[in-house]
Amino acid sequence: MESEPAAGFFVRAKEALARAGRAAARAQAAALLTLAYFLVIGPAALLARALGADPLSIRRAARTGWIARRAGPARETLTKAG
Amino acid sequence: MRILGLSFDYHDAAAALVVDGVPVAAAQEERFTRVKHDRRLPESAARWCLARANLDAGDLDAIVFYEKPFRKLTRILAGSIATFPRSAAMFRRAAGAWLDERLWVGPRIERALGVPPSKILFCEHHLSHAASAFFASPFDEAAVLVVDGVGEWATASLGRGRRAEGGGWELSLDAEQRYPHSLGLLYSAFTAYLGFEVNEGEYKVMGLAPYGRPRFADRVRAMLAPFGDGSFRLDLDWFAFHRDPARAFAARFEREFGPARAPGAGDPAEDARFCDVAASVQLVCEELVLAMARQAARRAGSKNLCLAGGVALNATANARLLREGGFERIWIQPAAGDAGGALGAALYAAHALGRPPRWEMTRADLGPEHSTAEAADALRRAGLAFEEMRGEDELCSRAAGLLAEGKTLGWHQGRSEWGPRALGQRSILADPRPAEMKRTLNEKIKFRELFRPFAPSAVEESFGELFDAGSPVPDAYRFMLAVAPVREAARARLGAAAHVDGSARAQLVERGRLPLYHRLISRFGDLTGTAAVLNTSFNLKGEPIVETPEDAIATFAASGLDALALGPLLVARRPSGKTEARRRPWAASETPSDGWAW
Repeated sequence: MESEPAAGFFVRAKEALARAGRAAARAQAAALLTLAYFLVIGPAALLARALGADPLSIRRAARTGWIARRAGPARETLTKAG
Repeated sequence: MRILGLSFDYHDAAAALVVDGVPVAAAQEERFTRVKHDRRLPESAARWCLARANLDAGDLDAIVFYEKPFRKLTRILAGSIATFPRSAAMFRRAAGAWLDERLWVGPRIERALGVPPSKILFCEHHLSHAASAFFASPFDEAAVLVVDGVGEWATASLGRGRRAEGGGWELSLDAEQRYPHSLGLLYSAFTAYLGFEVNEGEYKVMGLAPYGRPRFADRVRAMLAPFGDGSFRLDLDWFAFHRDPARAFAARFEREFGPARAPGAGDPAEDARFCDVAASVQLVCEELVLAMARQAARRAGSKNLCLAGGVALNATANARLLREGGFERIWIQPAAGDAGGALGAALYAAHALGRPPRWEMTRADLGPEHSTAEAADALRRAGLAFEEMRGEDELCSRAAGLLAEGKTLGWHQGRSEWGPRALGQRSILADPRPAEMKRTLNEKIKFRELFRPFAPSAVEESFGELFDAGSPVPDAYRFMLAVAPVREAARARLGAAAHVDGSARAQLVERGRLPLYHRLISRFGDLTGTAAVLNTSFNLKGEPIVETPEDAIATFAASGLDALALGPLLVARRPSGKTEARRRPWAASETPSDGWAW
C-alpha cells in the first residue's frame, strides 16, 4: 500500500501532466488554425478583393439596407441545417 | 403532434415542448445547472419538459433547433475573409468552437436525447423569434419585427403573420438587414464600452440612461448611415466586434467619447459622461426601433405588431413604440432573447407540419413547480422553522402584513416564469413606498449596483391610478416589457419603484391571470392604501433566478431577506439576525457566451 505523501505526489504529477497536455493541445490547435487562416482564408480574401466582392456590404451602394428574403415552403426548409 | 424546441451554443440555452400547438413546458437550462446564461445543450431542461408531459424522447415527432448552423458558419467565414488579415485571432476562436462542437448540432442532439436524425429539424434564427411572438399573440394578422444582435446573417427582419388561404396560419419574413449592420451589436458595443458584460449588461445601460442627457446622440447617429426606411449601415471604423474576439469597439470610440469604463469600476451613475453616453445610445436605439416598426407596418399593412429578438427586451424603447408607433396593439414575446427561440422553433414547426389551433400566451409560468412536501423537506433539512398557512387567504394576509411592516419577502409560488422577468412566481417582494427600500434591496439583498431601479407590480384596479400607461393597458405590461411614467400624484407612494426620470417598468397583475399574486397585492393595498409591491427577481447578483425550494432557501440564507414563502409554507423570520456567508458566486459562467455571435 502506498504511503499518503507518495499517493499525493502521483496525483499532483498526473494533474500536471494533464494540464501540460491540454496546453499543448491548445497550442497545437492555435498553430493549425492560424495556418489555416493564412493558407485558406488568406487566398480566398485576396481573390474576393480582386473580384470586388463585398461580403459584409460595407462598400456596396444601395438605396435600402433591407434585403428581400426568398424562403421555400416551410416544411422543406426545416429539414436543412444550412 | 409533439415537438421539442431547443436553443443552445450561444447563450441562454433553453428547451420548450409544444403538444398539439400548445406549449406545455418551457425552461432555461441555467435554472437547473445554476450556471448563469448557461449555453450548453439543455439536457436538463429538455428532460424536465418531457417528464412534465409524461413523454420519452421516442414519443416526440420532431426536435427543432432554433437556427441553421451551416448558414451561420458561412457568415463567420465571410466575415473572416472580409476582414483579413486583422481577424486571425477571431478566426482561431470561432473555428475552434465550430470544429469542437457547433458543426455537430444534429449528432449532439441525437446522442443526448436518443432520437434518430430524421426527427431533427432546423428553423432559421429570426423565424424562431418571429414565431415565438406571432404564434403566441392574440392576433389573426400582424406585422412582425425581429431585432437582435445577429442570427445566421439577419440582424433585423420584417414580416407578417396571417390566416393562410387554405386554412391554418402563415408566418413569413420578407426582408432582412444583415450582419454586421446591427442595432443589437451597436448597443452591445456601448454595453462593453460602459464596462458591462455583453449579453448581460444591456439592461444596465438602459437603467443608466435616465441619469444622463443624450448630448452624444449626434455622435452615435454618425456611426450609422440610415436609409430612411428603418434600415441602416454601420460605419465599421467605430467597431471591432467583426474582427476582434476580445473587443467590441475600435480606438475611435474612445477618441470620441473618452476612456472606456473599466469592468467593475465604481458607480457609473456618478460619472455624468457615462450616463450621457448611455442616454445617447438609448435614444438612438429608440429612434431606430421606431423606424423599423413603422417600416414593418407599412410593408405588412397591419395595425398590429409582434416583436421579438433581444432588442425587444428594451423596455424604454418598447414604451416609445407603444406611445408613438401608431399601432393599435403590440404583442412582445416575454422571452424575447435567444432562450425564446426554443419556444418559437417548436411553434413554427408545429404550424409548418400540422394545423394546430392557435394559442395565446396569457401567462408566463411555463416552468417547473414544486410540491409543498418538497418545500417542507427542504426547509427541515435547512433547519428553518416554518408555519403552514391554511389557505391562500391566510398566506396573503400574513405575507402582506410582513411587507407592510417593511420586511423583504422571498416569494416562491407555482410554476417558474419563462423569460428573464420574475412576475410573481420567483420574486423578491418589498414595500414600494419608502425610497430607502431601493438601497436596502440593492445593498443587502441583491448585492448589486445602486443605480439600478426596481420594478413595481400593481393590480389592475389601481394600475391606471399609479401609472400613465394608457387605457386599455397594453399587453406588454402584463410581462413587465415596457416602462410607464409614474403619475405625479403617485410618486410619493412609489418612492422605491420610480426611477430617476419618474418612470417604472411596471407589471399589470390581473385577478383572472395571476389570482394568488393579485390577492397578495390587494391585501397589501388594504393595509397600506397602495395596491402595488416592489418586485425583483428572486436571485442574487450574477446568479440565475431560483428554481427549486433548495435554491430559494440558499438565497434566503445568503442574503438579508427577512422572510420566505414557499407555497403555503411561511418562514416569517430569519433564525438569527446574521446573514450567512455567501455561497460561491455563480456570476462567472463556466462556459461564457461568445460576445460577438460566432
